[in-house]
Amino acid sequence: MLYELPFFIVAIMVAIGLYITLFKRNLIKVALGISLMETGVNLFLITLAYRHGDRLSAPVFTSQILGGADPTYSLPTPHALTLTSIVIGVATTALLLSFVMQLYKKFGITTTDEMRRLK
Amino acid sequence: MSAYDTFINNSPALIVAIPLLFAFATPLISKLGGKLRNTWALLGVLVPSLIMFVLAFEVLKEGGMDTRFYLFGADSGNRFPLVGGHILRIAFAVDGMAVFMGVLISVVALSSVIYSMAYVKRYTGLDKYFTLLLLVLAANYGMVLTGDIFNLFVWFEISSISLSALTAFKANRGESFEGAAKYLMYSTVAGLLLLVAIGLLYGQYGHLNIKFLSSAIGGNTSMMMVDKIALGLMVTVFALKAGSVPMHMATPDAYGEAPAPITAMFVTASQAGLYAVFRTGFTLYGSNLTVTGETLHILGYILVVLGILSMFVGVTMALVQKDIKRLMAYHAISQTGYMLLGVGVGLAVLDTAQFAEYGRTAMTGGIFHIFNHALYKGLLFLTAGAIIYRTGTKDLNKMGGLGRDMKLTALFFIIGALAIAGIPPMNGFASKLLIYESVFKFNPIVGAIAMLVSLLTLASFVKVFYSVFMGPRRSEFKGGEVPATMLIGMAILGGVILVFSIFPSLVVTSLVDPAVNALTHIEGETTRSLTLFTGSGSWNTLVFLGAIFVAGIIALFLFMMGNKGTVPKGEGKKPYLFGNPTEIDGRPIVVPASNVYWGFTTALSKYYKPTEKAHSALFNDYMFWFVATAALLISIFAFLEVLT
Amino acid sequence: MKLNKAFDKSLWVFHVNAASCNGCDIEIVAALTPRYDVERFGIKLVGTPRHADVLLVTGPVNRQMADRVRRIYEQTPGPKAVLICGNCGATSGVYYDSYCIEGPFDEFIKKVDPNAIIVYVPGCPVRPEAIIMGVVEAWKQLEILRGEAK
Repeated sequence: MLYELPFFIVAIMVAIGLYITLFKRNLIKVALGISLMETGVNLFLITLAYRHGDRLSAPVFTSQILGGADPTYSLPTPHALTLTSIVIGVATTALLLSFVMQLYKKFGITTTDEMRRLK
Repeated sequence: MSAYDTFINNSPALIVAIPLLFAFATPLISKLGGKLRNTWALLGVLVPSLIMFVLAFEVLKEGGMDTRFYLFGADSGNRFPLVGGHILRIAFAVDGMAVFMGVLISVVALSSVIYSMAYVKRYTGLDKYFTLLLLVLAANYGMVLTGDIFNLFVWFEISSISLSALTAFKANRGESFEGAAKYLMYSTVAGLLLLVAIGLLYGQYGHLNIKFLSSAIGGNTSMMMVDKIALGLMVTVFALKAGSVPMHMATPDAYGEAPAPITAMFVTASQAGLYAVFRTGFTLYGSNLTVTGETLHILGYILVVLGILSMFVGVTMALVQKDIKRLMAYHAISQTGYMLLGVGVGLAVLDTAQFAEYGRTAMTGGIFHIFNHALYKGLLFLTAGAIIYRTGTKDLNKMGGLGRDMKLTALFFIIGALAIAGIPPMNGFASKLLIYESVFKFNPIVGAIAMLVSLLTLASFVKVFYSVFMGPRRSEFKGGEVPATMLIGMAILGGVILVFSIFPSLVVTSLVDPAVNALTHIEGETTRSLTLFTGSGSWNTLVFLGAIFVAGIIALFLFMMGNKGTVPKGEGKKPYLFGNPTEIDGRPIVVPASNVYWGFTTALSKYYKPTEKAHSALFNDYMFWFVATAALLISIFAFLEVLT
Repeated sequence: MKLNKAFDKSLWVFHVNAASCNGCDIEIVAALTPRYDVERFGIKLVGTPRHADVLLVTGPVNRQMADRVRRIYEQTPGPKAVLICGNCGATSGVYYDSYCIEGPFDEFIKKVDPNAIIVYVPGCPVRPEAIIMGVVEAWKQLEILRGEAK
């Protein structure tokens, strides 16, 4: 059960992130919601790395294997996936916040209600 | 292994690496001058395009069904080093479909970059423009050539970020930021859900390589819940990228605000997204049809429904637009519907008896339509850019009378408009004929809707042509025809469209059939003839053109027999306005573009009022449609067998 | 201009009311409706001068209508003829020498197009049988003209 706890947290984080993008109007809140979803998905990817049992490839042992009863292994690929995803998230958040700033400078827009000029 | 063989073996990596390298070197090169930067960008598009054509030639020679792999980091590049049953490297998988998309991307990108050289000359920040353009090109190539789903996600994100940054290129207009922000937010959320789907598949099977994943998915006794959820998510996300209803609302915002050559790159990116839908359906989930067949049939029906919705909503919303690029963006959505319809029909009857009867023709039509659409949509956006360049406005109500001075642009517009409306002899007609005839056998109502949508497409382009090019000459639009490089860019696409129009069957046998072979692993016809056989009819452009020529001669003969001097001259040539003068204070009286279809839209106001309200431009509504569609698709896949 | 043989067949008519009192207009409508019925010859009213063979003009032409009638005449494609119904078009009728009348119609049509073919049907108001007889007489004259012109 302990090993499945991060998955529940991921579900909660992604759900909260989706809720924010669906229902919140303030643009900064939407950007933060997207950022929260990104963090959730990164947590999901990292949690996939920790296994105990079969289906391994090039594992990284996290505890002493010799004599250990039920050791947990860590696969390296999800770490790479997560790092890539974090970098993509940084780029996206930076670009998004700069757009929000420019919208505020040009039109004074802070909410999605006002960001409705393109019909 | 000769040098040529080594070159071909390494070409997938070169095709992606060269634009990346050129992109990152562009800011340095542009310090040395504008002309050098333009040449550098052109080289950065030309060189990978040529390599792509050579690779395409090699792959299509063999019929397109074999997949060539390129492994990043392996010494020979073609072997799969397996460690404990798992693959260790990122692989590029090149088959007929990938090469088809690659050729498409190359042609449109070439014309876009040549067009850009004159179009953006008046703006600053051009080094960033060309850098991002080359990055978009690299991302598009990456999306179609890759054989690894996480790599697909990475290229997906690169293309979203670069395209949204380029949408905001015209930073003096504040609305560009709105379009860019909406597109970026939408694509990012979509990308995150795609990553969830990839994570689910990876967590279940431990592979990221599409080939290995598909055999792992096919190795189960029946599809597991994880597979179905991942399928629902992936199809929704890639359909969002392709611009299908109901996830289409960010598309006109972004297409309308981006500079015209970038909108052409947007078109290629959405075609790459559509390619990803088909890759997921046919390759990722299609390796063992006894396990996944039922789900693939359901997916086919879902794609048909999405296709019909996209076609219809896209074209009816396009009819009421006042902004020329938003109108064309809604048409892009509508044409995406045709592709989803064609391939969806093929997927729905996959592995049954009807596939040989009409499914394969539907798939051929849908995939041929992808190429045709990229060509004529790219051309139309480039002509829209030329019009905006000359008039400085995007509003159709303010334009008029450009046809007298911009004859070449008008000609390219006519070619593009006839092609998109599916008028013979253009290439749009050839692919639409394939779709009509096969979809009609699938379900006659759907075929009828497809033809109705074609009609409405023609109607709305007649409106655009009338309000932009016809009418009296306006004094405020001076300057004549657009610069030569822009014309060359348009001419490349126009020329390829004409070649495709005159020889559709040759294109189908050499480019489209290998793509269909690659997706379905069923060998098709290989005879080459000048007639396109659709399974219940045939179409030969040269015979048609010959008939038109003969009809033209007869018409000319009849015309010569008529009375001379019967046409009114001078004042009599002006439009009939009950005898009233046709100019007020020197400004001509014209029917503005918004009122051309006033009767139609008012008569259908029961449909138009709710639909226009649904397109509310509120970002939260966009997210609602996306989440609702994703939830619906996942529930359909996951729970259908419980219900039936 | 030469009126070819097509003018012997059904003519499409465009009605122009140049400041008429509507008396002649009512009689024109009476000519077209089933009692006097010129529609059996294929003569019909059209909605735009671009489709018309004959312009049916009633009324004297006042200052506001002068420009417009001239423009309508020019926008009608040839070959065309003008049928002036009523006294007002021929000689200003009861409105002779009024302050607002531009002049009889034929005068300034001749300024625009010296070769205009004009048929006069007098009467105030013009009887429908007179309109039909006017048209028949015009056809006879046209045959003679064509015989001479050929």
